[in-house]
Amino acid sequence: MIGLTTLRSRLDRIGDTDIRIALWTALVVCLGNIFVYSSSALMAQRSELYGYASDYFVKKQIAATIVGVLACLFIATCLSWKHIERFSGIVLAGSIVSLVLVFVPGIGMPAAHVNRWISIAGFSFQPAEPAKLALVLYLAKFIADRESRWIGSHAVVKILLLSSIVSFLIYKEPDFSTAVFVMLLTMLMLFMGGLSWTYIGSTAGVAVCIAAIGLASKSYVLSRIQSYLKPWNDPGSHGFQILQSYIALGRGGTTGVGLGNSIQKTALLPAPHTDFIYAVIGEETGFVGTVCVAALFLAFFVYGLRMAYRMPNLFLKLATAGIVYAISLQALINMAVVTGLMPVTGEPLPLISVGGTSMVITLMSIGCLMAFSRELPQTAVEKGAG
Amino acid sequence: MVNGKSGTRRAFDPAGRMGIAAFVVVVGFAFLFIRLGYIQLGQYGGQLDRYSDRHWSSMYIQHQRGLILDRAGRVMSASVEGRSLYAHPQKIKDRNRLAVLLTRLGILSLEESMERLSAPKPFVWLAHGIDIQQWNGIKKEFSGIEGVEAMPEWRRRYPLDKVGANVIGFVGSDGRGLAGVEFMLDQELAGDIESLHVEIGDHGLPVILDSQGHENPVFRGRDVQLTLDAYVQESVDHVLAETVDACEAKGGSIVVLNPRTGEIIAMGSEPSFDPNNFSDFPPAQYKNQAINTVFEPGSTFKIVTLAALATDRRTALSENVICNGSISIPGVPKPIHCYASHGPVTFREAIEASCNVGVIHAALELEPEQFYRMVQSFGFGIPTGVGLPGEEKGILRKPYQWSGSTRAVMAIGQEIAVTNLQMAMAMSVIANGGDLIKPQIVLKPPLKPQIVRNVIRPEIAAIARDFLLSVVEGDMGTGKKAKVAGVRVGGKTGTAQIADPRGGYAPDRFLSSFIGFLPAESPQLVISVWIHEPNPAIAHFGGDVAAPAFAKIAASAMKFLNIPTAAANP
Repeated sequence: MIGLTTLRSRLDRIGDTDIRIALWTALVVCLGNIFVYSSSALMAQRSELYGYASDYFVKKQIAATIVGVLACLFIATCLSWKHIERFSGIVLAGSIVSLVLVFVPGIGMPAAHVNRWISIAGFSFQPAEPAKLALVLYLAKFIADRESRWIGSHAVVKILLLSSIVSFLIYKEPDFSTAVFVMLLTMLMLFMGGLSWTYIGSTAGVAVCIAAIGLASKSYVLSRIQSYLKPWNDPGSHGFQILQSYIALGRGGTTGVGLGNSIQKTALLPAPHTDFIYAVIGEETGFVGTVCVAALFLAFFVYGLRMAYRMPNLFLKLATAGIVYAISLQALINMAVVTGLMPVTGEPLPLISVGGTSMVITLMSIGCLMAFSRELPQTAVEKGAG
Repeated sequence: MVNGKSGTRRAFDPAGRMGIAAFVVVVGFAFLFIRLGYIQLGQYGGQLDRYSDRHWSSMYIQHQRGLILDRAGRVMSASVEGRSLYAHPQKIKDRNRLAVLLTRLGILSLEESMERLSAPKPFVWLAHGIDIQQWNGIKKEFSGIEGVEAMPEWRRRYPLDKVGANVIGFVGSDGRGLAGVEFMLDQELAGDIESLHVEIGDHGLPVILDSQGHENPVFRGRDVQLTLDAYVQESVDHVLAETVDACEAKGGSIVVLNPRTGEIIAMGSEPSFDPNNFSDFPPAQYKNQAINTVFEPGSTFKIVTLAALATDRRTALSENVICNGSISIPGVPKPIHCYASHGPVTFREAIEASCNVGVIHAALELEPEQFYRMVQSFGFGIPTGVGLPGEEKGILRKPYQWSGSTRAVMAIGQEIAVTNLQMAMAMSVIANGGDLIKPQIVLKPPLKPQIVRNVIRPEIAAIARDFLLSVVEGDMGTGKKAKVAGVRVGGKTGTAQIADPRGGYAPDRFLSSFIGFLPAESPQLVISVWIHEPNPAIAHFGGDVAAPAFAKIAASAMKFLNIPTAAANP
């Protein structure tokens, strides 16, 4: 394992870790917890399920944040990119096993006809979240290990097979939007990792077919798309969520109704603390707030990609880009759903929505980015400053 | 950048591809910013604002019905949580499997479930009143099945089963009281079913909050405490059923009450029913015979004649008469018979032996108007006001409607119809020293007797009690079987022929009764036992049929209510 000398040499290099990502993360997490409290307090206070405690969700979220920050710091300081690359396969295998375990009675925790949770030793989590991270890291390794300039057909088949297994297990939970998101990430990794243009065309075709089959066999997906197209026609049922979201954003106006003053969260807006927390942000802090949050994620995206561009090898480039895309795309999809640009899906807003597993895994992804950042070639100015 | 930096790595620079993908994402963000501006800054926001009113609605919520408690706080009726199971037949995919499941769980028979699930209706009930424990056990079986839902509901349960059923009544499937106390105090038990002002929330579902802002609260009705004592009631029901059985009678009723306060301690009625399964019984059995049925009381009514004579014709109490088995009344063609030839009797002996001749002879000295006023002030002819549903007022004709024989036969309890409770209240007048009290079934502190009127002076009541003591204790007494160990008892037997609807009296249908009070020195209980139509081949005299039942109830009531016996408290 890690020898003393290597540890010392790594400790010497801790100073090279990118601190700006950590600052960005701290800012977003703080904002997130404030809005978690604002959006969930009333709901938790009302319900016997949450013990009538207004701080029920924010307490759990803060606990998840602490666990996530510790995990993030461990990865950022004690691991190097080589460890991450080496362990990515094992972590992915573990994730796939966990995805199977959600269907095992006693370990899986079915809730409302949905098997998304497993419970081990008192802790419960959604294995779909670590699976996404592990898949991105493993694909980066797998693609970087190819010897030819383009990814060969055997490798493409292997990658698609692997991703399909993960995606299928998530689809069976059922969690259609996450399953699609996994395939989207896979396509992205293949695209960035050097898939020849002929393959790009054919795999896109396969993906469209899979998506079409999924659409046809899951009736709720179709109804969601219909409600996306015409929310006003169906205000009572599926169009309801998006309509309530519009109303929240519209009420917010330029500067919002003030922190804690959202009316939509009191009764009408569904899932105000998870999928639709962005609508609560929009109502309480207005256009200023929504643009700030969107700009924060855009800044992360641009900064992260710039980092990926400067990385010294293909694995680091792909892994960094993959993580940056995973986080930014989730955020973009969530915000697009809330503003009605996309049909309703179940993607949370990373680091902001309530959700312990998502919080911990996103923070661990950030930890990986920080570990990778030590490999950036030091520019002349930074060297001079250091 | 053909050569990778780490040697073994392959030579592909993803920069270009990353740039293409990044372009798509950045365009996505651009759309997002434009969209945000459109919704939050533009006209769109203003248009939406009119939809942002909070929506409110009025709705009614079924409260958990309050408990019915006896005077010691024992639960006689309670609402427990249950589930109703219903189905949307059109949404059910595998009808056969569901039908088999329902049969296996014992909810419906196979034929019945197939019939209901195949009904061309959007909604069918599958079962009502599934216990919550039972439901929690079988809930999982339904988890994967579409089109079957469970709805919470309250089930009314009677833990003492039949005890006091005819007084307590029962509750219909809509949660409203349909009989007895459940009906009488429905408003209170059900709670103030006023409409709630609720906000319409997520997907049009109401957000129901209590005063603390907690969701889905349980609204409760008020508990009600009755004057009944469950133990005494149980023994009354038991003795009544036993007596009715033994005499092959049609039914009967028993009232046990406190003559000073008017509190009804127990009220039994036969035939009875089980309120937990009330629909299995014919509705005629729901009747509370003590207040819903009137009879000509017969000889027990002589207590009123006695009180009237003691008030207005004291001298008549010390006269003698010779009973030769019948007495002729001026202007009435047929003589009135006594059940035996008693020979020369004093008035006391006439009461003791229930001699009609002796009592009528004395009663003929009363003015009709005088007698009528006395009967009326004893509470006959109007309901007692106990409040239980369907109370009869009886029949008391005014003097101008009287026939030539009325004055005479009313003195022995004919040509007047009364309820058992009215009779018990009349006996209470004598027992408590002269006041007519309003009977009470609900225990409401502070419990003050509600005096309707003063009927007779205390010394008159004392004289009457003294006469009634000899009914139980005298040599000729008809009520000897009413004796209770350790306490002196006063009372009056009654064996009334039941009026035939075709006119006259049926020869073999009797109301056998005994009404008494104890302890004689300072009465604390009045017990009135009526047995309807005992089989004359077995027994029909009130002293043989009702008096033993009185004695049994008196003994157990004294035990349960801690009334000291003379031996224990000399």
